[in-house]
Amino acid sequence: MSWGRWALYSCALGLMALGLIALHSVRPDALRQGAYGVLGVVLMIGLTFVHYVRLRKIALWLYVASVGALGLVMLPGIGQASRGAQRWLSLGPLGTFQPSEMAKLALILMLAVYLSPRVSALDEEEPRVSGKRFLGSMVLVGIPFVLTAIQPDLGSALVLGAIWFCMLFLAGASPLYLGGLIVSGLGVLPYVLHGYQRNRLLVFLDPSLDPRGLGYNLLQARTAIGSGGIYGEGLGSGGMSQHGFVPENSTDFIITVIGEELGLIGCLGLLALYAILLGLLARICRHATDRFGTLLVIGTTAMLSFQILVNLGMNLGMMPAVGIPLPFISYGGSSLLVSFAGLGIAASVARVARGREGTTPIPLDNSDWEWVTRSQLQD
Amino acid sequence: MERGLSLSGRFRLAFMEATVGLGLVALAWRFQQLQRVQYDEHLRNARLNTIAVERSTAARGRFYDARGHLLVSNTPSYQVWVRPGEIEKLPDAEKLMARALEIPREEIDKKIQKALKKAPLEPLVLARVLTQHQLARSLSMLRDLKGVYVEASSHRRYHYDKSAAGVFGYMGEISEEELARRRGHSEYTARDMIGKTGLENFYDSTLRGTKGIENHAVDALGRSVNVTEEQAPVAGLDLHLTIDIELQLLAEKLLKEAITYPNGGAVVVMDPRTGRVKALASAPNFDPRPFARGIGVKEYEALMKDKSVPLLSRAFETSFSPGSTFKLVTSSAGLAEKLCTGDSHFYCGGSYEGHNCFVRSGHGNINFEQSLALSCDVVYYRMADQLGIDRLRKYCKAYGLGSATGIELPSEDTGLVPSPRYKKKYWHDQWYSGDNINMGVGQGFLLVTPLQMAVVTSAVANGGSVYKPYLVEKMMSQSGSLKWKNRPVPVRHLPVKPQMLAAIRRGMKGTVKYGTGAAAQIPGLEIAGKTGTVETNGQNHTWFVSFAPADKPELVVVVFLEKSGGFGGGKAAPIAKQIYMKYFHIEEPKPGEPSGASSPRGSAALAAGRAGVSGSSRPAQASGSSPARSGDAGSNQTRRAGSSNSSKARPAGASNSSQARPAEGLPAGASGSAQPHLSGTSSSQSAAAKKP
Repeated sequence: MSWGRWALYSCALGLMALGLIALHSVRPDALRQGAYGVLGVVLMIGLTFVHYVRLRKIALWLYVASVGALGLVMLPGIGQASRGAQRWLSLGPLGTFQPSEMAKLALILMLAVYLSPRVSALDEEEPRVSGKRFLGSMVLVGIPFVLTAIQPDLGSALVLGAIWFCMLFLAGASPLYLGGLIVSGLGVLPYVLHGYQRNRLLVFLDPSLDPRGLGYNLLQARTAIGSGGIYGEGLGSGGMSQHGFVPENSTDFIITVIGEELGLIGCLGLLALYAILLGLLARICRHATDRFGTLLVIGTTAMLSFQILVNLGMNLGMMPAVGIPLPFISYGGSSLLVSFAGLGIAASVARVARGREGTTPIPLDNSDWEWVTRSQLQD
Repeated sequence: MERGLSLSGRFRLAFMEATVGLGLVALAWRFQQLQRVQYDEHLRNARLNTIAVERSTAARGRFYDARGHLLVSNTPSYQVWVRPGEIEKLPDAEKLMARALEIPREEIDKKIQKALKKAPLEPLVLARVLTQHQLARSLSMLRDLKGVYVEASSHRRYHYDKSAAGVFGYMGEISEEELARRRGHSEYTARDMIGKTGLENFYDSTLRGTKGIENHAVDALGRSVNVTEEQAPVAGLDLHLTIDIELQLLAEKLLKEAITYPNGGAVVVMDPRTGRVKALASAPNFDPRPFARGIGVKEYEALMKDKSVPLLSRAFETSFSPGSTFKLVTSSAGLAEKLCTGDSHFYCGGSYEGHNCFVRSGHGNINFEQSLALSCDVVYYRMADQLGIDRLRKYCKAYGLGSATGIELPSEDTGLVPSPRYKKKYWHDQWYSGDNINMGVGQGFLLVTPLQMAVVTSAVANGGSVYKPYLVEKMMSQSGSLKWKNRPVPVRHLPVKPQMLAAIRRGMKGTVKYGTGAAAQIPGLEIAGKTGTVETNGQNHTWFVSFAPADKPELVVVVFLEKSGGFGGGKAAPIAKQIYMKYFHIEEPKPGEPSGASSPRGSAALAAGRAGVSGSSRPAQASGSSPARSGDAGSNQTRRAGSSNSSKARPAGASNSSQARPAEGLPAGASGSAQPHLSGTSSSQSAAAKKP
């Protein structure tokens, strides 16, 4: 399925191109994002050729590092605050770095490792997720979840939750557990939400409650998108996009630029690219040769799908306002790199699966990687 | 499938795929809903956001008088306005504004607080016309204040001060209701000045022109990014009025001298051949200038509380009993309904059905002409009684009483022509023949405006055509091209035969020649008129309706004085006389000069304006024709006065009455204006005795 890999690359590049076009229209420093894009593509292709099973080794370290970084963000002087939330770590001349993005990738790896305790062929009797392991996974997601949520960055925390949920679901966790958890989560939600987050929910239910404040962004986003019509106003010609009528329109509200300037055609094109990308990922997931790979791919897919649906849903007024970037499109290096990395890992899974096409899977012992192409193994 | 996911895993994956797929479809559907279905709405909202449409007010049309004198124009000025919601650090800003504009801070604060509650982003004008001093202070002190704007604009300039203010009307800032009524009309926006009354109001849309439109592309902070002019402002049309400002000024001057606070008066001068209104004066008058610069609350309240109601024109916005001037209508009805003819003779014994003639001893035997000339009440009591209310109403309506004349003024009073139903409704009483009798002499419920009386007089003068009086002769663009011209056509013809109206005119001529209106006599010009004196709860109202030259009418003058006391002939007629003298360029004969030597004024400028009226020929013509007329009227006594060849007629019957005076008109008028050639009555003889 080499074509699938190429299709995956193409989709990613297409999305990034669309994102850069939109960014270029509203930000003078879109080139910086382009540089991150180049870095991301290199990372994606590089990861394709690293056997994903090798990632088992770094999973724990990456996880610990992410949690540490999330902790560091909270420290005054190190974390960079913006609009009342501590979300960024300064990397000196390299700019800033958002640990919550790295935490997404780390969580995918960590859960994949935790839920596939040994490298096993998939035709083995599928190990159900035991109650103990379910609780363990909850602890694994809970630590970064809480750390991001108190930044506060509810959006990223929800992405972590979504990753966990989907991976657990595919890993075979009881739908009863999962459903119960969602219900109880919704139950406690009103008590843990910040005032402004509660307001966001209310404003989502009725944006005209506060047209000059919270509802402003949502109404403006809808107006900007709607005013694009079918063909759009043309790049650089969107009156609302160009003159700051939609705040945050290079990050969480970037779809308003595409909507206003490229119109329905641009928006449906974007959706089509996402649909193909997610379809390809699901296909890789279905054809993965082991449980670990399957879980890695579903984690990445969950991360991307959730961000796409929630971000666009918010912009279109179908969901409450939550700060979540649009993958490959929104301005932000960390998010772009993490998205590309996820695709790189998925491509690796696809590459390995293709390498084993037509052969029967080799039964493996615990953490035995012998079926892996020897040339790729160092030890 | 031998590898890949287990069955359960594949099912779960498919479930997730379906969920995400559905989500994507929902998003796609929502995109097309926003961008295709609701496109127009969102585009409009986006434009509202991103494009600030600035409207620049066009120059307002000017007023000119009939001879091209500029009456009302515009003068540039500066104003200070605020958007209360935009002001930062309100107390400091208010302090600065109070200092710059020299308005008490509390006053500014009151206005701003009120606006903040209602519409914080609507413009609020704090000072409409800045003085030099205010402007200098505002420019230096208010420049950096957010939400405070110093802007060039213009306001009305009145070249003849208070003159004709009731006709022009006054300007004011558009009110919320006015704005709401004109919603969707792009020429009216907040902060606009709008004509509130008079011509300013009636022709507001013509005068205001078309606003210029500038599209400012703005950013989210409201800063203008790019300006495109979509439409240049088009100045409003200039109105060339029928008003002759010199007549208007004279009328106002005469009125001012004649009235006593809180009572007023009115003069209407009109061309009976067209309905052209040459002067429409009312006193007391208001000053339109404070309105143009934004009238203060106290100033306005003072104006509203003024007992003399200067804001209401007595010429067309208030109605009064017409008194004996109504006999023009009663006599028309009597003649047309064949109750009498122009040759009929009547007997006045001093009262009818308990209603007294104003000459208590009665007029004795009089003919139709004398009944008008001497203003016999008994004749018209009887006539009205025989006519009855329905027939009286018919002729009132024919003359246009009881309804607006249709002049281009917004708040015209319709007056009142009573009916039994009216009396029942408002007075809870039935209609008695006494009501007819009262109405026959213009008393009782009947109410008319001086303007309506001018229309009535015109119709009598011109032989039965009822014209709509009008004020605007033509409209010109500011570049001078003719946009519209009035073409007067009669709105109605009276159901009264020309020879009947001629009989009435004979009576009116007699009024001035030997009757109650002798005070209006001008040597060399025959005037026809009718006096009126109205009994009120206080002093009498006095009227004089007239036209001249009597045989070829070209000017109607109606004079009304509210509660002036005295009689129509004594109070009102001399005012009309002055106006005729001005119009026909006849100078007051100096004492000692022979009265016939009235010389036409040779003012080249004025004569040029009215080429058709030759000052020298007309008086001669008029006076030449009068002996014949007097003969027609059946006068039995003529006398020469001075060197004038005009003869004066006086019936025998009149001498009886004159001895029984105080009667209408003559005594005061004759003694007041030193008429040299009046004969017959004792009082006029005393006046004549003053002559050498």
